Amino acid sequence: MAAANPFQDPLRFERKMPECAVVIFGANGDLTKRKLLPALYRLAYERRLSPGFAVIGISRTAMSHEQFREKMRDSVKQFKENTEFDESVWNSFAESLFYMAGDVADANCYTNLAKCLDEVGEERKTGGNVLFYLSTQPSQYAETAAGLGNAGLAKGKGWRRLVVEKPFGHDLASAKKLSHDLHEHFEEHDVYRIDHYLGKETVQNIMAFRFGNGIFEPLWNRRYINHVQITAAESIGVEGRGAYYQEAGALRDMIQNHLLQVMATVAMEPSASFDADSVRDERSKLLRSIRTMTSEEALKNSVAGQYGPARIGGQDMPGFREEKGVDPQSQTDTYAAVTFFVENWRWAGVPFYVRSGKHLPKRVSEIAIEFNSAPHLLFGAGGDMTGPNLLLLRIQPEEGISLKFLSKRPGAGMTLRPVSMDFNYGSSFGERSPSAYETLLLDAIIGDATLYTRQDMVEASWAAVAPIQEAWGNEKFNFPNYAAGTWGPEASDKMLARRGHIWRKP
Amino acid sequence: VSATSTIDPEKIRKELSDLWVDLAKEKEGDAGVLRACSMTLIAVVDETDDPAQIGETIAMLMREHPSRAIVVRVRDSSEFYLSAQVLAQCWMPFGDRRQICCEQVEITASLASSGDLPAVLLPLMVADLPVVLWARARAGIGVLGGIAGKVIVDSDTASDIAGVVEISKHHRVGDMAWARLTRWRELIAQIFENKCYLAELGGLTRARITYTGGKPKASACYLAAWLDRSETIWEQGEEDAVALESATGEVHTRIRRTGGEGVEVTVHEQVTNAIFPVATDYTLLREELSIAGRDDVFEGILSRAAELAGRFA
Repeated sequence: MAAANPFQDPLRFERKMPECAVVIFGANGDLTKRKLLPALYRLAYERRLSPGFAVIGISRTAMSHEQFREKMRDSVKQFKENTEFDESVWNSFAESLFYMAGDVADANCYTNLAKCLDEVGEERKTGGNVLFYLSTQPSQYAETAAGLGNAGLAKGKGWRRLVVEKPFGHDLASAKKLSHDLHEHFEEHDVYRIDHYLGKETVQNIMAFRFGNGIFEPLWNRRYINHVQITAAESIGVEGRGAYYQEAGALRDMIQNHLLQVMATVAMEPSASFDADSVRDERSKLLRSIRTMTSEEALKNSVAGQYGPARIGGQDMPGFREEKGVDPQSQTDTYAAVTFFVENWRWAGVPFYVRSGKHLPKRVSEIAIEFNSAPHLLFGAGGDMTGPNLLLLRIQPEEGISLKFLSKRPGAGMTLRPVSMDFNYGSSFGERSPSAYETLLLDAIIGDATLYTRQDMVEASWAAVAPIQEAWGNEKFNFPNYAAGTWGPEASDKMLARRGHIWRKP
Repeated sequence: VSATSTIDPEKIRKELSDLWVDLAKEKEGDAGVLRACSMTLIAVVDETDDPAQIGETIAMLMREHPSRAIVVRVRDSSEFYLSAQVLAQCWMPFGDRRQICCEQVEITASLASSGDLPAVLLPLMVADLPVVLWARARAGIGVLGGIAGKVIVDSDTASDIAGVVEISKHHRVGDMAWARLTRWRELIAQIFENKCYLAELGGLTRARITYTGGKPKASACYLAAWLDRSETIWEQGEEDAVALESATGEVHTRIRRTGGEGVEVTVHEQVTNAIFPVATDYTLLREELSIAGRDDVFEGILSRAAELAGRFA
């Protein structure tokens, strides 16, 4: 066994970062420019990277190392968010950036990569550890994994890990096929399926909140919780990504992956320990407990929507079908709402309402847990002012937790009013919250897969939405059915009204 | 709110209570004032210390460690004197929606009245939450240490690690001089996370510590104790620096300040630059307040550091 580093002090230091090379396929793409490189720069700025660190960017465009560095410098400057751009830190960081042109379909690309890895490893002392990050078209994932495997790069003297961006297939069958193809060359425990929602601080805090405190977990069940609403709303439309979005839709793009993972985190059983496998076992178990709907139930418990044109703030907004690259007869859902049920002892009968949409009134992601009302209204019905207790887990934009409860209004008489107890993540700890990509990149380098999605989780979540996909595939929707800037189609409100519930307007 | 020549703790408690009513009245509408408290923080300072600077440090700390802050200003006087006032530290983290406030009590006490302080302070502790004493002035430790779960000192300013050892016999102690080293230590630890470099560590028997000023500060002694090399070479220089070398003087790792917040890190021939944000009372206290339990690494090197510091006394 290798000797331990005697200088570590886990009480005061951030996590240990091993030496490694990060190989980014699709290094000239948007994700690399907007998210990956800025996240890595921020990690460098905060001294979180090992001195034995390197990035090798690969794309088809011919570029020198210097040109790549210049390009990335501009991107980091533009997308560094709330971190200062420091010339000396950048210059040091830039020395760890390398580039090679290559086509993932060409076997030479991998031969050249092997040579490049050897040279960079020698120069930067990366210890043979390599994180391959596939920031390419999803259709190239299997091909790239095969290229790496065939060139002998999937194994080496250090660890080798493969990070894959969503979508992980477009349905259950294609997800299974993708996993099968990746497993030809990489073991499942070396495949890191990234879901940036799980990297968000509040999503991680759900587990701390639930399992670190003794007072909430006893209430966390069908006896006390009336229903759960999970919302991911965007105020913008497809913003030039119409062609891509047309193939995805809100159900596939958001609910199948991000929101079902969030739901699993909210509803899962406590894991035996906080290691990656235990946590993911529980998430997976929860996803497998989601009731598989019949076609009839799928239509009743889901609503598809598509935004139409509207005038917002004096500006004319095009409908989805008027967006560039979108079929004028498109049947793509820009809004999806689903009522899920979890079939286990804890949650039987509790509806989980999940919705996501584009061009809704505001950008907000939150989980609202509504508790049952007091069994007897001792103080009389107070109309709208006396709602049930509500626990709000805010994911964005203001990450935090709020608890709504009733309190007596001061003065004579017994009039109740709701008050809110707020915990705001940013202001409570005063530190910059790391971006989801910073957290997830660090996790992958460290080898902590807790926040990554496993094959069985992906398949279980595809299985949960499969009946809806099928039912919607047989329908011809009368789109558009909601105006941009509103909270979605009327049918969505009716879906909740059937059970006596209403959507929150965050 | 009030200033008197003697202190009635019950009166202070009532004033604290009234403070919240007044704040709520000021803030009309549904968005009330939110009270946050995670500890009682007692700051013992000299009366001559800049009150604006102390106030600013405490105000910044409130956001991450919302506390009932009790600032005790020690007056160097043999006449009995005690006075108190109550105020609130508020901020607005949610735009204009919700104001968060913490309580602050300011007590001025002459040295002659310091024996009365525990009885005044005890009723003001927030129940069920930790009590931390920031002993910026050492005068308070003797009388107030007993009510605090942790005592924070700064031996860089007092140049007295032996004193820290003494305090540690009776209280859990944190030293801002040790916290000042965290960035340096973290960087060194990060370098030796690399297995190639870790394999070379056994041969790096010499530490070279370059200090500024007349003699090494407490931080430098802590660093030498923590590095735990068989030989430490001390040298005076223009910039703080540390190097790990082989017995023959071959430099493996060198970290040196390059002015301002910049540091230059050299491992073998590879040079990188990093930023060490300037450590302030606020950043150092923030770190120490985050550690509620034992600090085994610090406690493990304390005696050795005191021994090294003794050589420069």
